[in-house]
Amino acid sequence: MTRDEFLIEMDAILDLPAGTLKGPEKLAELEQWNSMALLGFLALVDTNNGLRLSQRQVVLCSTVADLLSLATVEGVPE
Amino acid sequence: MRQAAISAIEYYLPERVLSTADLAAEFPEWSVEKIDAKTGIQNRHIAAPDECASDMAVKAARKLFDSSAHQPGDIDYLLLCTQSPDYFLPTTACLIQDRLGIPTSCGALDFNLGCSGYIYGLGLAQALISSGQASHVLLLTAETYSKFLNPRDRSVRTIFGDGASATLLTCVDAPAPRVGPFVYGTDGSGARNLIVPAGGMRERRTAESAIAVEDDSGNVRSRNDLFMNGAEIFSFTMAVVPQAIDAVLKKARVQPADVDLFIFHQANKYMLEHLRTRLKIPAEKFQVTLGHCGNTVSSTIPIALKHAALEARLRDGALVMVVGFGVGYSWGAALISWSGLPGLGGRAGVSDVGGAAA
Repeated sequence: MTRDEFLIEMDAILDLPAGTLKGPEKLAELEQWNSMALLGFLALVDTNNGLRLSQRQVVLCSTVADLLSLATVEGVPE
Repeated sequence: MRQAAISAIEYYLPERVLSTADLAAEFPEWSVEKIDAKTGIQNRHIAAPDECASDMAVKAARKLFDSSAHQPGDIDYLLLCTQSPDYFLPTTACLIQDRLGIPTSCGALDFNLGCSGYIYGLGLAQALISSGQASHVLLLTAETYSKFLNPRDRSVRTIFGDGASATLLTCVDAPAPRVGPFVYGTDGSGARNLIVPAGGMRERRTAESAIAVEDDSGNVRSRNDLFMNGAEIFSFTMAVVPQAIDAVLKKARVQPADVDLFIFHQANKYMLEHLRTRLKIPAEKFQVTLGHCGNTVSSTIPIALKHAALEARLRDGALVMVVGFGVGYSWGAALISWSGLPGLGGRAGVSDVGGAAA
């Protein structure tokens, strides 16, 4: 999954128009970043990268770019 | 050889309905469409203030006796799976024995499990019957989780519904098990991720435990209320369910393609769909039945089994994989060699959705 593909997937998870998210957005300022969006992110990472992440890892992320880094680098490999 | 076979399944849902529209009106920031898309749940049934697990279980059992060839007098063992018993003591199954008029010569016990409970109940019933301790086991599941939910915690109010099921397992003479093999799993390190912290012996209810606090997601709960860490539950599910399925298939020496229908604990549509795609299970082999009742904890699998039979998705001899997973953490999986439910045959269409009437 490329960076752009990830951002578009996150747009859908957060009910935003495709192309909205660029990376620097702070999660705390995204109204739609809630428990359902968190599940969507976990499912996205599990499906595309085969990585199992914990909530403990996700809560350390501050921005959308942090989520991308987590999804591609620090997940628990299958 | 003595084997247990499922000969009847019925269920009961409380009369009061909490619809997704009702929830959207309470929580305007969540639309009906969004809740439905994520959970797949349109209605949850909520027990009346004076309606307890035993009340619902009795109604489910009476439906079963009314619709089957068996009567209370046939039952020689009663199992009740619940995490919301009528009392700490006495055993709620004992109360149910009395109310149903089951002979006093029967055995009866409660066991405290949630989403995995039906699998464990099937295993206990199979063992009781194959060992000769019982011939007609009434397996009941009943939960009033709604009584644990804070009204301002949308994360759990959108998902959980109350309900009860009754399954009759009878002794048949067969060369191979009709129910089984079984695989179980337990990981208590996940206990804190689905818990009612106060109210038991570890932490009594106090004025302090009743203080409600808002979390980072805007959900409100006290220590007297159910807390669920959805993200951790999701991760746990993704880890254990595939392994449990592999283990059962290996034990039974069958291939995934040999399974005719997969019935998982109906946690929510989002998780179910993710599991289905990840495990590459065709949609036509995957039962989803939660829109009309929500997550009824240990009743989700028997409710889904009942609907699979009503929808004519189970031919005689069909191989069904059932998998329960959740609170504890606890999980279990089993294969059922389906032998039909007397009175249903193979008719298509849903003619009985359980409803609210006993």
